[in-house]
Order: sequence, then structure tokens, then C-alpha cells
Amino acid sequence: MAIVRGQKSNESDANTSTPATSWTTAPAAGSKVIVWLWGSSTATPTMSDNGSPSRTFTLAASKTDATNTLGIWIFYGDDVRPSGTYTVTATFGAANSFSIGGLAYTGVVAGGPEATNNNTGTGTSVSSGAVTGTGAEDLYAGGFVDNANGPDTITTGGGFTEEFELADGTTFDEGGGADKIGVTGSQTASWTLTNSRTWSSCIACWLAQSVGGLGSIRPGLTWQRYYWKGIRHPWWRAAEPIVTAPAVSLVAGSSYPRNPNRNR
Amino acid sequence: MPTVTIFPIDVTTTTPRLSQTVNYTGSGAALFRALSNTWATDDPAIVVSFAVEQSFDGGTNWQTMCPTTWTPQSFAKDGGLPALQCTAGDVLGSRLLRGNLSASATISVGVTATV
Repeated sequence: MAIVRGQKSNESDANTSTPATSWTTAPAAGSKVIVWLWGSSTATPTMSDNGSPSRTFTLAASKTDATNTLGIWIFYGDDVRPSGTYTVTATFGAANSFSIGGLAYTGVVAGGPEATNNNTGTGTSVSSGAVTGTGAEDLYAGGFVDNANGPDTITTGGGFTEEFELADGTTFDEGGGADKIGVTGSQTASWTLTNSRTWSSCIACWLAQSVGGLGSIRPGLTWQRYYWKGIRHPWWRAAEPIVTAPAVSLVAGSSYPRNPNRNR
Repeated sequence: MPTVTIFPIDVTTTTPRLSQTVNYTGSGAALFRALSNTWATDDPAIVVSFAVEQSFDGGTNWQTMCPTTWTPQSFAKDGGLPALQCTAGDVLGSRLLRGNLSASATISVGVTATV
């Protein structure tokens, strides 16, 4: 299944202990939501939404800088159920400068990332480090924060799309969040700054949802109609190439084979 | 970009204060900052709730665009009073913005907007 970007939230930069981001148009129910959060803390916050039911978000990747008291966090929430103005809120123990933004996706597996990485350094070139996606198509989400006390021009690289950005570290912390979809293999999120900064970055990647083990079955057709007693029904014999039937077992009292997916 | 006072410093309670409206093109950032003469000594247990609200129909219907909370004695990175910067993530273009300001206990506070 293809990964598709859905609705994006309004980026919010605030001096607060509860950074929150709201969507003008709510994400589609069932979406996976990725939230980028960066700012002046090394503590890991909690995060949840105001959906019905509410979802607790899980940390996917992060990198903190104790010297400059900075952090970048990437959270995810699965199967969101927006109700009203959809809002995701992080909670820290103390007020500081934070930036937060989220983006909904469909076609991404539920649960945690298949790979993560993080990196830190000083200079004008920011790199998350590489992660390797193993699917036919993956979602990559990377972010960074730096110690700028003034403005920069930020250029996103690595073929990533900038989703959120704060290019002035005067009032809030400079940083950004970017993503990349429709690709797989080793990917690295990167940014170029106009001034040398000390930066922290992280990245995570997720697999696309599988179409299942019986991918040759047409939409709306059950596996029983496709495989009858382990033999593909002749209705499809002429229309599609021969494939190997999956292992099946009989249910007691029935001549119908058991759906092999139920045994997983 | 001009800075205007959308809430003059005044007594703020749990009853929301709604500001005058400002035009926002739907791109770039809109910056809102608290106004107070007593912020450094106000009770830090008070929670000031501020939300930027948006309207696409000339002010008939409003929805929250960017919500936040501020607490006395906490400041922005630049040393000023706490701020909220809001950037639209949608592509719906021009709209009206207004502020919605309240507090968990009585406090004198206001807000400026740079849009």
C-alpha cells in the first residue's frame, strides 16, 4: 500500500511547558500521526491528543544536547480518532522554548519504527545519520535542533521535504522537521545552515502497510472464493498467472480451509 | 510587519477575553507576546491560557489555530515575556485571527500581535 501524506498541523513555537499543535483540517480517522518537537530541554516529555478516544503518542527517536540544553524528539500516534479541532499536546516539567508540528499519513504500519539513528555535531552541515528501510516503500522522518541565537537560512537536503522549520534562534530554538516517502533503502536527512551551529539530529523510518499475503486476490473477493480446498478456483485460472497457494489447514467439521492469516 | 496590542493589560480571569481581529494571509508566521508589568513577581502557579483562533468566514465561525499556556516568571529565550508564534500548516489562504485569553486565577496581562 502506498504511503500518502495527509493533513498537516499549524506549527506552533512557544515559551511554555505544554507545547501543542492543532490542525485546521483534522487528519483522517485511522491515520498515523508523526509529531516533530524541538526546544530547550533534555527531558523527554509525554504526549497525547484530544481525539475520542485519546491516543498516547510514543517516542520514536530523539537526540539531546546537555551542554546547550537542547532536544529534538520525533513521536508517533497510531489510529488517531479526531474529534473537534484535533490537537496534540506535549507536557514538560518546566516552561521553555519549544516548537511543535505534526503530519498525518496513511499507508504506514502501526507501531514503532523499523530503524532509528541520531547524530550531533558542529558546523553548517546537519546530518541525522542514516537509517535503512527494508520495505518496498518506507516513511522517513528526520528532525534537528541547534544552538543558534540569531537567524539562519535553512536548506533541506537528502531529497527530504521540509515540513516544519524555525530559522531564527532569537526567541525560540532553531530547528526543523522533514520527511521522505516513496523510497526505500539507506536514507539520511540533512540540512545546510548559513552559520556554524552546534546541532542535534535524529531520524526514524517506518514500513508501508502490507497488502497481505494473498495479494493476487482482487479487492472484495474472499480467500475462500480464490482458493477452494487449497486449489485456486478456475474462475481466475484464465485471467491471472498461476501462483502457489499458501499452506492451509482444515477446520474441524468443515470442508473449508482455514484462513492462513488467522494463524499469524 | 506592524505590532498591535490585541489585549491591553487588564484583569484576566477564567472568563475568556476575546480580542479584536487581525488579517493573516495564511503564510509566514504570526507572533503573539504577553504584556505585563508584574510578570516577574506574579504567582507562578497561575496558568495563563492563550489561543490563536482563526475564521475563514469573516468572523462567524472560529476554530483554534494555535493554543498555548504561559506561566508567570517564565520568559522567552530572548529574555522578553513569553511568546507564541503560529504558522499555518494548511493552504487555505487568508483568514482572520483573534486571541482568546484567560487565566486560572486573577492576573493582569495583555497580548501584542505581530502579523
